[in-house]
Amino acid sequence: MSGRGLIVIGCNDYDCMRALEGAEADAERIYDVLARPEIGDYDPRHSRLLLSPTLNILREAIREVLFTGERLDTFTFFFAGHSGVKAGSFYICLRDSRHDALSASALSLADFFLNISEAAPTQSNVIIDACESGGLITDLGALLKPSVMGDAGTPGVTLLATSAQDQYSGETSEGGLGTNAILDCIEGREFIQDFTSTLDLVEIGRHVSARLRETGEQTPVVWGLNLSGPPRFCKNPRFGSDPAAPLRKVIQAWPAAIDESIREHYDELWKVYTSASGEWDARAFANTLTPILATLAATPTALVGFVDRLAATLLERATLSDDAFRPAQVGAALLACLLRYARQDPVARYTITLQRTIGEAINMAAANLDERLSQDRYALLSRRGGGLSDLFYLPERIAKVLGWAGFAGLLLLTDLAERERANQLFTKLLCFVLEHYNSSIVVMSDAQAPCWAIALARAAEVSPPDAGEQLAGVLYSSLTDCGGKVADIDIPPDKVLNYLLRRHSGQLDAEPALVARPSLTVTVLLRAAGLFGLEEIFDDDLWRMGRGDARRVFQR
Amino acid sequence: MNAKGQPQSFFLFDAGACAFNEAFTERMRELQNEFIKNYIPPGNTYRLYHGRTWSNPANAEADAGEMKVFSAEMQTRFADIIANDLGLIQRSFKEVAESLQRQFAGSVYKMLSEASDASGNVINAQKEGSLPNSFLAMLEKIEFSADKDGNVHMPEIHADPATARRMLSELEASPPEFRAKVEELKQKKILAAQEHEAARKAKFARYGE
Repeated sequence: MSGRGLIVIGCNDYDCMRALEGAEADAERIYDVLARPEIGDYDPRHSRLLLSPTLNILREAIREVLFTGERLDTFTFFFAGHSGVKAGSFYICLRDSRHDALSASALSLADFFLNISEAAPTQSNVIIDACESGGLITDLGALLKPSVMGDAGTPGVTLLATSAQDQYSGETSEGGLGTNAILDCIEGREFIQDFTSTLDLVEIGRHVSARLRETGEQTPVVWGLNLSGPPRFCKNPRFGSDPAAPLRKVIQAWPAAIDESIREHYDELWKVYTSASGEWDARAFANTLTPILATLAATPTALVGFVDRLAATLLERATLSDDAFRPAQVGAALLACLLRYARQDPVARYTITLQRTIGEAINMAAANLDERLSQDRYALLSRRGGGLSDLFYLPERIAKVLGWAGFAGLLLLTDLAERERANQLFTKLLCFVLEHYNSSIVVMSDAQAPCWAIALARAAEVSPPDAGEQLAGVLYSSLTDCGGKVADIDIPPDKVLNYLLRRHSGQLDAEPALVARPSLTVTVLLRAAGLFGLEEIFDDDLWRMGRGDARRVFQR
Repeated sequence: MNAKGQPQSFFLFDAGACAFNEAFTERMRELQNEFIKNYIPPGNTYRLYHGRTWSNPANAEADAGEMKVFSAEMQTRFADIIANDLGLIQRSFKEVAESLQRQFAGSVYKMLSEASDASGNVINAQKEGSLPNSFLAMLEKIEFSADKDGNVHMPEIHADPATARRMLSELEASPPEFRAKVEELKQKKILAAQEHEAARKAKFARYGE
């Protein structure tokens, strides 16, 4: 199994639809580039360029490329032309397609996926540069699951659609905007990265997304999980090795162990993938990834390549989350998984890149929050299902906001402008919270402790002195008010109500299991006193806290 | 904006909030059950597994029960949440519980009143001339019930506090003849209840074996 198959379609002419001008030219440009050995290295025997084909011609090409001869290792499908969505299904429109009979005259994405699933190339890349191509998202929820795609040979699929569901793909005199952006990445005019010799479509997709979003005209969709084998969509023209080496040679060095490990953890990886935008659990994420990364420990370059592809996929997926800070959290969890390998040079260098990505993601979320707060000062409250639970979770959220916003400045080591932006955003958010959420700056649970530690340290370094001092004072006051009895870091969510009721009535001694012993928060705040010269003031109220905590802090 | 074009949130605690709300509802349920026990013994509480009504096709005279929904609205001001006022939780319990309990008690008295009106088990206090006389007339109309061991439970009197206080003081001040009359009636009713229970048990061929 080593074939690289390619089907490229450009459809200008339609019997029953409006004709297009640039689709065929886009297809020709893509085909020419990907067929070149030093770029895409797709095998001409398994490659087809179809210009304004009918549905039957396309079906025949799919049959020949996917089902004739050896099983394909990599399959790439590119379509430029009209597309449409009907009854929740996405269709690619060919020359003889009709709007009023899409199911009978156009290629449905669901059918096409069944073809891919049956042929089971190791990796499949689907690029659709068409009007309403974002509409394929309606199909993807059902299609991109192992249960549908099957797990034979662990096929991976990545999709890149370059216009959103309700948008038309833009054209310029040089061709479609999406195609231009993709070609700029493939041919190296746009920098993606320079630490792996090959590129994955997700990496390109993320870059294209960012570029097209900036224009404000298109909102591309990148979707899928494609981890088996090395990245193999095309060569990375910015990588330093021999630029003329054929792609197949480059990817042969990929260790087989990683594929076995991925096969073994395929379902968990899909869960990790969906959790990036859904219900997020950093611990579960790390538990899934740790054994997979361990198989690559001996080959740091492959480890970096794998993590980078995963990061590209997951960070893109995380942007679909309802949580603006999710990309940063996903990136940070990934970074934490890499720490044990950071003594190896390629990993160490990559962690710096990932740190920067996380820092930028935090800045983006913090700027988003800053803007939202300027419009609605209640923007920090839960948008759904909050209510009384926010008595506990709002203080937790404030701790996270300040902790993560402060953290960005520590991550952005080399980009001074971005670091300055991070420091300004942190200070702005801190001052806003002190002014408008002062009573919610409360120590609730030990889960806040790392966030308070970062926020206090950063405030001492980059914020006006009175802001940090005020933060420390408010936190310490809340700590003494509850007698140092903050909730345990792992307090079960269904016990939170009980904790709050007992905290209010001063009866937490009756529920010792709910209380953190010893408390990280006490340690953090007492250590932070020195940052603001508050030691003596804090000492005055120390007696209010449990004896154990005070003693533990000072016994060294 | 998120994928649905809505403004994004900042650090989600959806699962935690959901668990909290369930715990809150569970606590409300416990409070409500405690309250209902004051009116209906838990053993006499029916539960519907499907549908919204009970029917008794074999007994056309039997009352058909129907589910009634009691609802209460709880309002929480953003400012109170931001003030981190933990007393808000107890106040919210109280507010919701009182509203539900008011509705439940009102429904129970309304239902009793309608049943009494339908059966003619109504007395007119003014016509009876005094509260002790009303009490006696009320006792006349009530049928006592005995449990399977023959223990007779005295009926309960539900009245507003002022009327209850007046009734008690007037009954305590009533002459011995009146008290004897009440006692005699009570014994008669107790006996009737026990006989009624004995007759019921006699319908079972091997009761208690």
